[in-house]
Amino acid sequence: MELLSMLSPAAAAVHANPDSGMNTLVLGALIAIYMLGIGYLGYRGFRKTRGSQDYLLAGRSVNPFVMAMSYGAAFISTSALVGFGGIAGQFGMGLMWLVFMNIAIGIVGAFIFFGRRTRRMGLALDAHTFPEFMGNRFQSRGLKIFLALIIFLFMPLYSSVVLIGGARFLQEVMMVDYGWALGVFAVVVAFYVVFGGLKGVMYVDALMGTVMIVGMLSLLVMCYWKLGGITTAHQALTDMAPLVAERLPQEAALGHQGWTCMPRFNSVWWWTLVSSLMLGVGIGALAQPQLAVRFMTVKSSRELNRAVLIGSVFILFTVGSAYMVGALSNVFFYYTGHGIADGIQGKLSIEAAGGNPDLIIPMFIREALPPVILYLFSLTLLSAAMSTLSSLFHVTGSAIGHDLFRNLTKKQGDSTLITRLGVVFGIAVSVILGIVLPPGIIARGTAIFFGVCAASFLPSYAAALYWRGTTRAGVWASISVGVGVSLFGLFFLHRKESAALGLCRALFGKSELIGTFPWPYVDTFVYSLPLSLAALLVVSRLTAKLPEQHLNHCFK
Amino acid sequence: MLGLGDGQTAAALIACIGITVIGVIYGAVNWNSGDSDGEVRRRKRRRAAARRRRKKKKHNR
Repeated sequence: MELLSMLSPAAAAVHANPDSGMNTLVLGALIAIYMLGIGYLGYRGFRKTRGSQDYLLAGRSVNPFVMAMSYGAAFISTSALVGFGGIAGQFGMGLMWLVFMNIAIGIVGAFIFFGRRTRRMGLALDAHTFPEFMGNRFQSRGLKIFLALIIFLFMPLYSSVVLIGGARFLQEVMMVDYGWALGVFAVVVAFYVVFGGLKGVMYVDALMGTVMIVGMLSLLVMCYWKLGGITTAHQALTDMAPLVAERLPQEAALGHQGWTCMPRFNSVWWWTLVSSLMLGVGIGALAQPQLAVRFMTVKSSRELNRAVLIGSVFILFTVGSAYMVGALSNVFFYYTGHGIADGIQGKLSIEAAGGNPDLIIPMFIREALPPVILYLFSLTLLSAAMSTLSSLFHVTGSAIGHDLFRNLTKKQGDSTLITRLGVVFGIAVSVILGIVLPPGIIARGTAIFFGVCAASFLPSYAAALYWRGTTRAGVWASISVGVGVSLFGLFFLHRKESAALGLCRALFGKSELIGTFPWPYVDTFVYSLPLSLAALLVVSRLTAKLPEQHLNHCFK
Repeated sequence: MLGLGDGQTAAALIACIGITVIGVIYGAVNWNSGDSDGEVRRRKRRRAAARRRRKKKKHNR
């Protein structure tokens, strides 16, 4: 969703200025070499893929560095680097609490408390995908099919956005036809996902994760060097706080108090930061199928322990750098007079970006930093998009081929071929959706998917790992309540989605049912998750447990 | 602190660095710990063999 509006103008901002020092031929050569490296790693994955265990779980023997970098690269998309980095440029360093949640919950908590048990239980249940894991845990073919259907229906929407955004980016930086860029981008990603399977995906993700961490760390170091050091830069930004009320009255009304301060308590921006970003994005990552499946790719908990170290550093240096640079860009644009394009000097970042936060990071790089950082950042953005896209394609294809087709037709045996066909089908659907559907519908569909995923899957997933008393009926109740309350909230309560979807206005004549502050700004996750959890607990207590023998097998 | 505007933002930065350090220390300390499935199976077999030996001794008495 973000990429359609983000990568194209970002690339234009990076490329457009002839004084930026960026040479299209050099960048083209770098991208070509990079693609060759990706092709080689994809081919290596293909050569090492023998059966469905290799294709779906990389043989359950992945190196911890590869696993951690793949997890991080799939986790962190371009929207985190450019989109949220731009939000930090507009609203400040309060967004660093999201970084804390990403590391504490998304890496440390996930790997230690979810990863170990997922790996062990997945092995005991012979599960190769997230739907199969849940279906086998609760002895429910229907649950397996239902979860696979949710993935199949909603993930292509998200994939289409990332795919189209990546193609637009290539179109802008390489000055090529959009259709050609779309074809090349789709074919490159399709090649290593279809043929390499999860081995190919994770090898490539490890390369891309390395590029991402080097690129973002370089960006942060150069930013502090440009602005005179850490304390100097922070103090300069703090001293700009009075400009918020003077130059950004709308943001001030939303709660903005300065770029080195948290927003005003109980303001619109405070609720958005805490409920949607910190809680929704920070905790919601635990239930993402494309991330959970990676826990089952390592051969022991030793690899997971090692991956905690690598993953923590990765998240801090990628998204942490993006948000700090975004906020600090205000200092550069406002104070620095040397080498700035006309009209930018003396402005705040959001003003310099013409009101579009997605342009803040690319403009800062273009204006403030040497061309080599531009090249590195272009590769970083491409890596972020491709790594997220490949993980989405793989999990969608697995859902279609391994989970849906095999269970609906009751075919057994190796599922590599059918999963490959599922991946091809998923890619084709994503491309078609991206071309046919308007961006607004894609954006809304993606928001629905993430909101539904987190509230619906998380209680059941956590209970599957820790509570023997969870029943099949309890899981169905939890998922139903999670889906139902999330959808109700998105269509009728949370202003950002309900206003755009329009159903509430069509039925009741207003954009949301409860207009009293802060309810229009409280993320659906805040109430749908507790209700989903309550349904799980109550119904599980009232219904028959799973056989003891099966539970002993799951928890051995 | 560090030129930042309020304690909450400083706390955010410190918390980010702190949790990363915790993750690094955890990973480093547990770098070689954690069982592979082969080790778990071997340990279970050793325990089962020890239990059988104890039972046999008890029976022989």
